[in-house]
Amino acid sequence: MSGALRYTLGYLRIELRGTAVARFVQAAAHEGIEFWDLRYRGQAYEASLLARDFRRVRPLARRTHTRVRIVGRSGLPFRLRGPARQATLLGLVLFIGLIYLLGSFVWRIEITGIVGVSEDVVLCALDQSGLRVGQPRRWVDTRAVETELLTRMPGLSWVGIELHGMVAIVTVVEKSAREDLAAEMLPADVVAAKDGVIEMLVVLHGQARVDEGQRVQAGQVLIAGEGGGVSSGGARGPTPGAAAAGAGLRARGIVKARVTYELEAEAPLLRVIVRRTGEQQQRAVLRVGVRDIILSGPREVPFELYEESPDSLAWRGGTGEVLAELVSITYHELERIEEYLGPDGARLEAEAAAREELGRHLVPGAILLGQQVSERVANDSMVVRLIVEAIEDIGLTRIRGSPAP
Amino acid sequence: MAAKARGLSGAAHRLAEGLELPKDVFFDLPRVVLIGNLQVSVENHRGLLSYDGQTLTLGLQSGRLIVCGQDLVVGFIGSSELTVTGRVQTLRFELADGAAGPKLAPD
Repeated sequence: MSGALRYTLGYLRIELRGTAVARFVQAAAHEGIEFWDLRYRGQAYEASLLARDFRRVRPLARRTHTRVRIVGRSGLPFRLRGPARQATLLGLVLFIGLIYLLGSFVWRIEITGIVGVSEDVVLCALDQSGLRVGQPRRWVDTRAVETELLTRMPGLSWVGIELHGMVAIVTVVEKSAREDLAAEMLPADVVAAKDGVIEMLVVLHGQARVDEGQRVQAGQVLIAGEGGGVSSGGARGPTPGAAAAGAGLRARGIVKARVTYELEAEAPLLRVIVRRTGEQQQRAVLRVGVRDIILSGPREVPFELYEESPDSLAWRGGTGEVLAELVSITYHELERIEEYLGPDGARLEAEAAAREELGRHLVPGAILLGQQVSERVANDSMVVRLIVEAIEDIGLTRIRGSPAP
Repeated sequence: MAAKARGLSGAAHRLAEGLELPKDVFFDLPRVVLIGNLQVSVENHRGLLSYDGQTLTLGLQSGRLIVCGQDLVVGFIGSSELTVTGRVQTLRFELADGAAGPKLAPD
């Protein structure tokens, strides 16, 4: 039996005297009466037992010639009898009321089913749709929130909201490629995603509008889908594949082009780093209207250079306005460190930045043909210029009428 | 008669060994769990025979278990379970035929 249950039922501390106390204890245990904390006190013993079992030990005590005396009473039933009864009862009622009250709010939102969308985006949209942490449960109209969320997030195809106690479980289903099938049926051309010189052109469906070796510009139609309507020159007859496809209007093909990238990046010869020292101070503020009440923490921030990371919990009214806000701000002390990189270090850093930028532009599978790196010092910085030639797929399917890439 | 009983007991031992049965259940033996020298829990005892702050004697199916130590307190006693806390110094089994069993004493 746990201590909490013993306290709830109430227990007695009894003193046992006699020559056969061990026999008495064993007989009681045999009757199903449990003793705990049995101690030897020189001339007598002390033990604890549940208050409800006390009547049952008296006949056993007589039989074993053991004198039993109550030396203490503990537990809830005795607390409720004492002079502090009213205060205890009031406290109990308030406690239960508080638990009930707190249980009627949404304290946590769990989002399941997200794949491509970030959780923060969904939480933000939920907030705008009428579901947020700290809101009373009965004010949450799950159907309305579901409908509103679908309107706010067109990338979702289904939303389900369930309230389980203090937790709102939001299940979302994102639109899949299958739902884009309708878009697949729209007439589309293959256009150039970047400027370049065509190295290879394979038309799977549609009409080629450019030739190999031709320089093209971003947005220029490379393969036109059937059905005409494009103005670019260089038209040739439809491919046999396209003829077999019959009614299809969507251009398909592989277009590889030689693309030239010219990138510049610079790095200072003297680098300044600002980083956290590890020292931090926290301040809790209760914000009611325009008034801030500091609950704990320093009044003035004790750091000269610092950054703050706030975290807040807001209580909102029926129309969504903030009634009060509990804000916890952590101030992190910062230090400023200057590091001299020198020409070599700055060049390495600038070149790394230029290559990182190049990586963002290159299409996966691109083949690098050649590169040229030059450098110069300007305004206490090293500027690195990177010229790279690559062969990559520049074909981009564009639905007719949609804006240029 | 005694020889026959010993023979049966030996067969039961072999059976329990062969079938890997828990011996405390099969032979109605007490299960004694010692946690460091701070706590002793005994299941399937036959009753508290004596107790003072230094010594506690428990009846077993075939003898007695004597726990010696300092500041011994019976943390819990039920019909067949008992927990003793304190600074345990020795555990001694006294078997029914008079021969003392192994004496366990922490260093």
